Amino acid sequence: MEKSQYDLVVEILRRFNEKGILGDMVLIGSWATVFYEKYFNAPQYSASIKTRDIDFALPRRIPARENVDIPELLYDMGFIVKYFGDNGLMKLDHPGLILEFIVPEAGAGSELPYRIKQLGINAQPLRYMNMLTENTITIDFEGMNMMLPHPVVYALHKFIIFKRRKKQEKSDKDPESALKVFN
Amino acid sequence: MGVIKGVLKEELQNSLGMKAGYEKALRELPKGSLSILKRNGKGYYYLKYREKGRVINKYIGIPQAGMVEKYRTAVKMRKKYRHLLSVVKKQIRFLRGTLRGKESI
Repeated sequence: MEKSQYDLVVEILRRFNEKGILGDMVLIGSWATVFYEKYFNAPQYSASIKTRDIDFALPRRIPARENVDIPELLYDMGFIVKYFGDNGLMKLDHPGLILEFIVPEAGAGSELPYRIKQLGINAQPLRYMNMLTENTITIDFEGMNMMLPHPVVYALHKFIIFKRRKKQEKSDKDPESALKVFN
Repeated sequence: MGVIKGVLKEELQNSLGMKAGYEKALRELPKGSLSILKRNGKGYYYLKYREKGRVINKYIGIPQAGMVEKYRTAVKMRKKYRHLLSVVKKQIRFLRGTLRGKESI
């Protein structure tokens, strides 16, 4: 039986944790709002609709340790590596999830993906990511320490970026997602 | 085109890309599986595969280091990819059906 989307996410987190790399990552995007349920522990809070996109923000430099090849780590789950666009941005594709990695944009910015050799991936540099990676909370999820953006910063980030979105449907969702967290 | 149809169209493109990806991944897996035939207490390795509709059992002697694991993984991943490919094909059928609707949503 095919795993549910949530089971897939938990399995990814578990594998990252076992390899000691979960601590480098901040889970951002709509999947962060799912895990805010643990943080808020409030019955009136409900997460945004889960999408197929799951994004992890990473610092541009991660601590030196034994390399972990993320595509190889997730290979037997059926994730395949896809390259998008003229710049070859990498995503890990699965019918249930699309995994993407983001790093803070540096300097004047570049559209080229940022290679993280220690993890065998390339990541998309995006502006305002520092907001999310420098203001985090840590929750205990099934014995794993998971970093999420602080909810207030998450919501503020949505309000900042929604006008900059290229796609209308994402731009429409951002304020709604922010208000759910603020409330 | 409305916002929802725009999202669905993008999803369809993603799914078509994924279909191509899984079909490529399947082509790149080594063909066949290893089987061991025991005779007189000794094991003889055969590579079993299909060619032009026929099942071929090819004797390969003592397998090279890592070969047994490579084929074991290939069998597992072939099953996985075929299943995921069928999931993606269902997604494509659903999305194409929905996009054929005349409503501008």
